[in-house]
Amino acid sequence: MSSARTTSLTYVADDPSVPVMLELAAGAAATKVVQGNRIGGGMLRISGGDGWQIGGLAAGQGNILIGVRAVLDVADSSNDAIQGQPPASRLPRRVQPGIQSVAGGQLRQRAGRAQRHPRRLVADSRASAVSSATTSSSTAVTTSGAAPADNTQIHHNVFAHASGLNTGYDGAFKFYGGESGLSIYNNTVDVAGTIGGFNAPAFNIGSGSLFQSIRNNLFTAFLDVGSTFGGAFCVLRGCSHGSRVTAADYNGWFNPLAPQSARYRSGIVGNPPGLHDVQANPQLSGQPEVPYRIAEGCIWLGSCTTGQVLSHYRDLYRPAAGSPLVNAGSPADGAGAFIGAVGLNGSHSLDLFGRVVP
Amino acid sequence: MTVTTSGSVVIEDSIFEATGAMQFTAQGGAPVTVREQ
Repeated sequence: MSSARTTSLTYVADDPSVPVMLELAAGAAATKVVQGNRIGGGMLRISGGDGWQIGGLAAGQGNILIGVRAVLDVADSSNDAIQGQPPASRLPRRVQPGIQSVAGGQLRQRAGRAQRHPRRLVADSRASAVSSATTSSSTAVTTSGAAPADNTQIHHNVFAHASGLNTGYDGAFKFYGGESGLSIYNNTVDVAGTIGGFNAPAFNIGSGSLFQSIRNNLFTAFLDVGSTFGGAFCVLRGCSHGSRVTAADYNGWFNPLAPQSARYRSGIVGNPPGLHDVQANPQLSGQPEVPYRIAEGCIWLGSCTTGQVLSHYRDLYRPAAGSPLVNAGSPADGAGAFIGAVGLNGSHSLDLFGRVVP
Repeated sequence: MTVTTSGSVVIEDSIFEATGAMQFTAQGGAPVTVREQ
């Protein structure tokens, strides 16, 4: 093993690829375990080799990334397990932490803050709370660049805008890496209404990206999507026509501040879209929290666990009794399938958000 | 710091304060563990 260090970190506001505080590289190592570490600024980059165990589901196994540009960047690696990372820090505008990129791995039970320009996308993202702080071109999940993972699934995440007003949004999800077979299901996306001022699409899809399914997701508190994007929540990037999504249905939409916006831009979905969508107040159990209210000190000291944070977000985004999201998910996902990241009472086998990590 | 070993690599219970960026590269097939820094 070799190591090298420099004497300082240099933060560059418009370059989300730096600085890397700790880089771990390994190729053929039999096991690669990164657990229980705390990084107080900059990115944790893990590169090379497959099957990294990053964090874990047991108490204390998660890594804490906190401070300016607290980012987990996994590159040139596949079949990794990323589990139990507690939330990262508050952040100044234009510099934000979060998952940077994960290729071919699993993201489980992560409570964190925003991502900016990740270069690859999680292959299986589940049970996470990602609170999006704003920057220009703010995007919750972005893919581009080399080797994006095909057949990626993003499911059971809460994406919540938890800072103030900004401009220059490109979309909550932005794909332009030529991915195919993507499935986005059972996510809750809350972009905070007038507080966030989010006037971009939910999905901004590049001409080379192909989706298998967009279903069971809740999109709420959007403003009207600007004409630049064609005035719809699901749009194509850089071109105006062409089917990029095989099926989009059973999604929930509650955007009273966006009366002019269509759900799906004409022609973007192959099958008739949204026949079973819910367009009503989702009747969630809690109110959005802006700004983000989890104290960094509590996380850093380990006094607040990932499970506690996720449980808190479960309480915020759990549909109340009588919610139209209950039993409104795709029947293909089993009886009692629901819309959004959180189910009514945990009775559905996939209603695990906030109920797994201690 | 450069370490060459054919055995396992464990970095554990260390504090790196005001060090700047750190880079660790493991070569070979032995297990690598980075824990509780």
